[in-house]
Amino acid sequence: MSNDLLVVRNLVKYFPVKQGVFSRTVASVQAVDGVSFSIPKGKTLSLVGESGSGKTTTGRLVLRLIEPTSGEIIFDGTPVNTLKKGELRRLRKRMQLIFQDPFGSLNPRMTVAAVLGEVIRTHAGRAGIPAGFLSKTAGRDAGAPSERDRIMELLDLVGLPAAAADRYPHEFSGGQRQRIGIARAIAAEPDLIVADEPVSALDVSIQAQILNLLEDLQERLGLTYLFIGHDLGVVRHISDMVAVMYLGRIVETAPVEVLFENPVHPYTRALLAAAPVPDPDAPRRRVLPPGDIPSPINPPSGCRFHPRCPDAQPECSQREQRLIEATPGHFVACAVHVSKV
Amino acid sequence: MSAAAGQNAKQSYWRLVWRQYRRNRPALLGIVLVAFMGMLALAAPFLAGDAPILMKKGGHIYLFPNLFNYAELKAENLYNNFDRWEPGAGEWGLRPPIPHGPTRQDLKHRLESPSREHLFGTDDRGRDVLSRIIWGARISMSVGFISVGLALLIGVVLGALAGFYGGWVDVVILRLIEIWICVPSFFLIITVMAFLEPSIVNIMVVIGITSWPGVARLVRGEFLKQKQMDYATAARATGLTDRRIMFRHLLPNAITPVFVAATFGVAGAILTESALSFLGFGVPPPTASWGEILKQSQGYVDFAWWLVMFPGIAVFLTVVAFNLVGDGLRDAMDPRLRQ
Repeated sequence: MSNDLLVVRNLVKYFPVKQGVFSRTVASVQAVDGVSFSIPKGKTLSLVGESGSGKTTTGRLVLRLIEPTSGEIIFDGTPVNTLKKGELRRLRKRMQLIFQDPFGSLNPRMTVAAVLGEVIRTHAGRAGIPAGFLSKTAGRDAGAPSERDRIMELLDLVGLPAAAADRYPHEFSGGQRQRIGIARAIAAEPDLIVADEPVSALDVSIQAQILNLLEDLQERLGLTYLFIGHDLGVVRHISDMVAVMYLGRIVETAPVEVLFENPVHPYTRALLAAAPVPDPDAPRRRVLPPGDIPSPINPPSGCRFHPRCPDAQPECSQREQRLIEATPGHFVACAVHVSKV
Repeated sequence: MSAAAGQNAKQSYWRLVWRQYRRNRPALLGIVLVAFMGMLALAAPFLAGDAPILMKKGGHIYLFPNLFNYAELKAENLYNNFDRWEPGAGEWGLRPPIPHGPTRQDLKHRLESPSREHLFGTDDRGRDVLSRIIWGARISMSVGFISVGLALLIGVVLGALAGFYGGWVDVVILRLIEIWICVPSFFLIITVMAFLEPSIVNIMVVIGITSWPGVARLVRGEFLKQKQMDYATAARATGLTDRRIMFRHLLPNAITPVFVAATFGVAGAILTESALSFLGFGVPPPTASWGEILKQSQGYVDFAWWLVMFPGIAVFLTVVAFNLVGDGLRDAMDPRLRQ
């Protein structure tokens, strides 16, 4: 068996655009259009791209919080996309989500203990899953830890004081709330966590703390992350592999250092060039031509990047670009540049 | 300790609402009036009635003899006949401040204008109007709260289902709401009540099942909004059942505007009950209800002003009070108006 915890093949999601009295489907938003990737156990894959590139949708599709239009999602050998409702609920224990907005993602009417306790109770003692890797004493035989003990342990794990248990979300700062969100995600003892821009709503100083917490938890609990982000510094820090998305497609994917040191696709280069460099004397380069990401309702033909591409050739508007292996493990969807590598 | 800490935080939301509410003078007046009417309804047996609250008879002391000593009273032909009871030697009875039962007829004192004995006068059968108004508050308040409670039950469940599931569930429930709203509810109530036995339970049920669509629409709208929130997605990602997500997570966040609507609903239900009783479809006589008193006054309006005035004022004050409370609550819960 392969070592991949999550394999995604040709994932597609079109959102229908409906109009008129009879809700005719007049068009569709091609949010995710043929995305494939895989994540080995214990590793982190980052999805990066502009807003509207389909990163978040991909994350929700993987957890099947949105039904895919087509494609395959295989989690630890189980095809997620064909599971029935009850089976899916059982599998949810093993795949959790961390949100971008630390304010909207916690129920304002529930205490921290109520939030965590609910997760623990929902997933307690489900068949086939070893109890409590969180408990230091470990194992059911040593006496299963009480719910309250588990809550305290979770709070300790994410660096919150025990007194936090009986408070309501509005009593916490953004960073603390994000810790609560992380505690909720790991309370289910998952294998995979989809982290949807978990730090982009936080102050820079807090961002580092949360990122370190995520890394620490990955190491201690053996977690696998699908990390969604747009801050390239953050992504470089946390990822093992990176996939760059543009208009619902992956345009380049590679191990993190390869991608940052040797970007091939013109869009990746533009993204990297646009990232601020903490050096006021560094020369300013602007590679990305002005203009917004085109509408996913009516995406450009051929290579979706060609209207903004500085190196576009006449055939780029005709020919669909597929991911080609430029160097081992480094895939690029640009025939023009791959030939130069 | 944990419960206490939770309690504190929970109070803080309502404390915030209360702080805002307190600034609103008409709303404060409303809540005082509502509390007053509620007290009248709850304390009716202490305030008005024939039966003594506490009595000594034949060497025994009875508390609330009408309630607890039915058999003994029946044997002595005293049950519901306390007005004729004259305490003998060594016997005494402590009567309520208004010593007239709401249904006791006294044909020697028909249609008397307000006096020291009958503060609000008497009706065409010599019944004390004040006593009837106090006991009528019971009918009005219970009809108001129970029928609205029923409407909430139906409306919240249907609205929650429609908002949460969307799709064909939503379409079916929405059409049901639209059809229900098209029916002029007052005439439906009259028609239904004409076929049913007139009883207070029937009135509550009929008012309840005609006033749920507003609640359902409100809850549906709130659910549509709340289910988009990240915490709802988180609940789904946790693998909770739909029922738990709906009623444990979404409903507590969607219920605030429903409270406000319910307050207005109570006022509406009280008004409807009065109107029904006035038209003779309400609580069966001789039970005292405000609308019923107004109905009895019909032949005597030209001179017996007290028969119209006092129950009218009671209805008016109660309905206004509930509307003021509803307004105040809406303003106090509106975060945009918060200072």
